[in-house]
Amino acid sequence: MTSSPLECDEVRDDLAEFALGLLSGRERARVLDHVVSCSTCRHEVESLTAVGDRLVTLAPSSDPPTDFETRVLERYRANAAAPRRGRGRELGLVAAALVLVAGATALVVRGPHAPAPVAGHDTPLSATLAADGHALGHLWVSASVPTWIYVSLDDASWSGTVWCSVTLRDGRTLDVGAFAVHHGHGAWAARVAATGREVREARITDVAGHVIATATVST
Amino acid sequence: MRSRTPALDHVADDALLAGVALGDDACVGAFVRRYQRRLFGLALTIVGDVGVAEDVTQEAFLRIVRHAAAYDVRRGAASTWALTITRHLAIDALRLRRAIPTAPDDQVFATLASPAPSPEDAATQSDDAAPAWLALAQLPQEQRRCVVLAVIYGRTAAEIAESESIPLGTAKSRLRLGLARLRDLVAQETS
Ligand SMILES: [Zn+2]
Repeated sequence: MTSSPLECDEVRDDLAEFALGLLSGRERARVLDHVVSCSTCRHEVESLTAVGDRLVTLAPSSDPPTDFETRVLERYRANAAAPRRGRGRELGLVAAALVLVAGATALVVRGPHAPAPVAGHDTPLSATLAADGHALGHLWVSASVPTWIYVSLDDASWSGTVWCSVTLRDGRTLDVGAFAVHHGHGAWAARVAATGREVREARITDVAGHVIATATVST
Repeated sequence: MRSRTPALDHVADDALLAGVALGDDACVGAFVRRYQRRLFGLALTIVGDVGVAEDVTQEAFLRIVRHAAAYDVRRGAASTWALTITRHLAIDALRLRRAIPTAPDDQVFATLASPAPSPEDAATQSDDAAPAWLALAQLPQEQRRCVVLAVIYGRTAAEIAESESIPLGTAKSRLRLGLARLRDLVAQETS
């Protein structure tokens, strides 16, 4: 539903400031009231916000005070809640992957990257992640929509971040994301923008791009 | 504690953010190193005080880490996202302090709002900023000044009216016309 043009006239001159986050209190509330009910003005605000976001990149850079980085990281570590960073999340994903393999019709995984409940009777595709003939972990590709990839790594004897990408049958490569490996163990789930049947190969690399393991998915 | 990972300094922004989202210390450190000058520079430009700017920038980084999982690469560059978060926090801090901002007299404002910004100046901008710079340079100077004051310095139309000695209505319309013109220029450039 669109409001009357008269109301639009009343907020017109304030839309730019509103879009740039410069209005506060009653003025902001007044414009917001109109914008939520008027799609014309809402589009105007969205497009002006986008322009403002681009212009912010023009702001000058400046060296922060000495040891700024150290202070930020100290605050970050103090804030990082233990449960979020513990192994519970990984175990949850491993469990989820196993449940999926068992052909469950629904599954719920908790955690920051938890996929939405996946439902379906289709069997997921699975493959072994290996390097030089040694198995390092396992890969599952869900047959549901959206497609989820589950990976578990168990024999990469180090800690750090790994990157996962998949190669599709038509030759395209999609980045799946970056994932943490702790003391040789890591498990995660992520969405890929392809159907499960399109995935031909998954590749795990370290940050420098060296291949740690690959898995070939056969249908 | 893991040592610094130099390889991370060459990883793409969005991949690095994915590592940040997972709470990987090395990725968080690399992200802070990569963006601290830009985020602090923006915060300092808006609040005009080193101590407040540091508080704002620290808070911005913590928010970025907390919300990294929600960052969507399709909605814009990671740099823009990080700068936008910083800008909002800086504007909040500025309003809270109720300091009376004076007209900026720094070199940056002089360049951004100069009567005839040149395309050569675009070369001094960071990669992601060059197109915005070229578009901005095409605005009439009075609109450009208002846009820069509002977007980069976080000034309201009322504050701009005062520092530019123009009526409030004029400040509002210059801001609106300037931003709308920039939107059209950006649309042309991307189409
Ligand atoms: Zn309207």
